[in-house]
Amino acid sequence: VPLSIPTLRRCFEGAIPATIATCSRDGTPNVSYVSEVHYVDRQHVALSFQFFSKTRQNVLENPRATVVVIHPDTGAQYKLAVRYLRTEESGPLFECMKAKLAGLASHAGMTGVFQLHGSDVYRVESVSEVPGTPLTAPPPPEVDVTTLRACMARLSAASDLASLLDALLDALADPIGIGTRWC
Amino acid sequence: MIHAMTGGTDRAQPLDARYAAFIQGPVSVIVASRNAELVPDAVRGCGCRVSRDRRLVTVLVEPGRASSFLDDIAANGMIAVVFSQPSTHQTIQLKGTDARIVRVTAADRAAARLHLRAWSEDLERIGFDVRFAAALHGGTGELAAVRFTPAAAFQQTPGPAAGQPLKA
Repeated sequence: VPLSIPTLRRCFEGAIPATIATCSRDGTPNVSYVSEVHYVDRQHVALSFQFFSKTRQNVLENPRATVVVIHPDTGAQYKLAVRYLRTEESGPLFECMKAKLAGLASHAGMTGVFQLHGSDVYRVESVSEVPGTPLTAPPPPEVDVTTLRACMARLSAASDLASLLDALLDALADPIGIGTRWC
Repeated sequence: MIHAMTGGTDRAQPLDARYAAFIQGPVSVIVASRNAELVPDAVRGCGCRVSRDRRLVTVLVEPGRASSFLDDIAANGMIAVVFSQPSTHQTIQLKGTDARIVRVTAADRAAARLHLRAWSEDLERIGFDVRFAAALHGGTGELAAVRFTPAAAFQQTPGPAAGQPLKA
């Protein structure tokens, strides 16, 4: 499978913090941890903006950055060459990241410290695997998060109970692959 | 612009002994530089050594993982290194402008081995097994060493003080 953002979804679950390298306009590099790298779509990720940091100052001056994410099962590392586009301070992306960050903060004992000021959206320009000797990955789940999200979108489009039930049965059959003859 | 830790004199002050001990402990080491187009690069380090007078820091990297980083260091000497202990989140960042690639010594190789052991133990405390730690860490084969004078140091433990200059 060629490397792409969807193939790295496990790296975006927050089990291991990512790092981001940035550079100021005067050429001074900076490197920092980032709590949350969020999958937006096949070409974009969003990073949690929690503190008014040097990282933030740098990407406003020079939008090119490198994000390194880690596969939580194998230890494989991946580099994302990214370009800062914009910050969203409200809306579905922001609310989704805020909820996820609250969960990560609770797990890390950082409740009250991790607070989302914005979702910094980056375009991913390339992805590469860092050379190394990662562990063997466990078999992937039969139904991944992308598939579930597509199913939820179909359910959300239902306008009444009957169409909701139809959409649920359709989604169970395809793409989830659970036969519904028992119904 | 990087400000010298002395507040403007030519020679940076030695690193505080507490921070020298911290960065040589069970910390994740992430090093960064940038190229002529100001595109930054980052790579995981395999350990760190501080000179006896605490004026020089040497970070160890696996050259197979760090080719573009090493090219950038050779070209411009600009470096930023973040040190973070996984089990406590305590984090600091050092920066320098005079980084250079130096010969790897037996002491460097010993430091990388010790670092792997200590860092793996810290990761075990938060639920990661030693095989995972070893895969992520690397550094059991060929090493490269990059030495620099810390010209600026910053607090980066998550919280409102993140980004503030370190106090001696």
